[in-house]
Amino acid sequence: MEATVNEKTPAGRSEPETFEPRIIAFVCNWCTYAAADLAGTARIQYPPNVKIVRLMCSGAIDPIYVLRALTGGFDGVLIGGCHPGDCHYQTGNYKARRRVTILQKILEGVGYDSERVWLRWISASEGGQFAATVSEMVESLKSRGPNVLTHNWNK
Amino acid sequence: MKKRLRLDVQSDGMDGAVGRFARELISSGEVDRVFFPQFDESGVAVYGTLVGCAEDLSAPASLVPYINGNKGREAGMGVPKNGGRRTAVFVRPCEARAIVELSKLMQAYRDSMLLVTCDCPGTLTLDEYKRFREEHPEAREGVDGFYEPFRRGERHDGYTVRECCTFCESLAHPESDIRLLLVGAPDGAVVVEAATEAGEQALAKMAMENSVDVDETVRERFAESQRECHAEMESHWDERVKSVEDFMELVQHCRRCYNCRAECPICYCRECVFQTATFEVSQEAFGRRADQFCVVKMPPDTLVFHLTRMNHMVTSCVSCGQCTEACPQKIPVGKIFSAVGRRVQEVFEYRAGADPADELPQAVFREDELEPR
Repeated sequence: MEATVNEKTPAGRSEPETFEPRIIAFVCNWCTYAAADLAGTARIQYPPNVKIVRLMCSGAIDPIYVLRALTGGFDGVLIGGCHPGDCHYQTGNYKARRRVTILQKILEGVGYDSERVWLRWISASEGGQFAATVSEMVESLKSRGPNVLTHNWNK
Repeated sequence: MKKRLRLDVQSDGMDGAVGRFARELISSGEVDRVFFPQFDESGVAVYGTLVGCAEDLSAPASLVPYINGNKGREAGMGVPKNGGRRTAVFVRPCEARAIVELSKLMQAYRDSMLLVTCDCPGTLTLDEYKRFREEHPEAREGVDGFYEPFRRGERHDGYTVRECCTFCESLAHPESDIRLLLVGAPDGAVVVEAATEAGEQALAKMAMENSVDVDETVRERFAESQRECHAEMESHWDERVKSVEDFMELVQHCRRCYNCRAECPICYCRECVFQTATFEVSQEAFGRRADQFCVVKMPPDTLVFHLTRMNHMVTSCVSCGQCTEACPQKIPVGKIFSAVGRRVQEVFEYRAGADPADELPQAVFREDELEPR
């Protein structure tokens, strides 16, 4: 991993020539984390730009986590949960879907690119889907460029 | 056809007439108490008061164009949940909207209230209200004069109303039990309308008989101009906030004093997340942030504060604008939350404070919605 949030990437210092987006993924224990695990054991290749944080359920996401990540140096946030109807806790992903939608609408409302926050349903058997989603998100963020909030200290 | 009765304005002015109506509600036994804005002894400051005896409602100020904060919250605090006993609550439309939202959040008991709202032309900032009172030491004449153009369906140009009032969309609160109609009302009268069954029952017991009507074309014209003003605000927002940097410029002077949150009727949490360990930054953590980003603003997390507060309450934002009044740095908080709130509420076809039957978007979900992701 070339750049992590713990490395100094201060304002004014030149960025590496090719922009490598930093992604944090909040994934649920029962589906998307298992999918990421499966991608690993099946040796499916995907970009190393993602840091995975395991939560028990996508419904456990507090939008504060997402906002902190976006102001704290990440370029994108991926939230992964079970497909609708498959939540281990019955309804956690439905609640996550409302919360993330509200957050995205707020971000749009204040002029921020809400496409930096992704909510995706990836089941435990979809290791390939997890890898594909990460690749797709890296490509999308590369075209969007670095997160403006990373080096703007007035935040 | 809704029942509309004539309330005569006598020598005690419009405020006096509304006060008389409130006293009658108590003495007829229709309600046990009223929550009513009154002048204190100085005759200038206005407070919400909870009145148990009709004769103690002696300095009515429900139409004085100044509100000392959104009293929706205070009404929620003062009206207990006891079946049978009832309190008539006299508030402005934005305060009534706050009551509807608070009762969904179980912080107010709408069902124990007889909600009475008036047509509202907007209220003044504290500075403007002071000027108003200097020019009108006798409140009664000032108030009646202030409402003169409004009754004809025109906006007042002598005093500046609060920013959020300039783009308010509600002439009267649609879900109140009784509405006091002023726009299009005949001269020398306040029109009392029974808007719900409860309102009708209350009016049935009162010694008011003269049926009267309002000029609906005047009302529609005023409502149309309100919609235009709101649309203008929305398009101005779209022009002004094109990127997150534009937004940060709007809130750039924020001191994190939390006044906006303290004045917000919807922010009812006793322990706010911003004052818990979650947002506590130790000296060590500040040091680490400085190492990571080379420079850290102090106080930190301005953006996270505003966006998180939005996350918590913007689906219920009633656009009362008390946050704007509370901001020492003159940030147009109310306009920001109102504009963003509308966008969020639209997704769920929700209007904060409108229909008590609509469920809070944060509290419910549907299995089949918001797809594909």
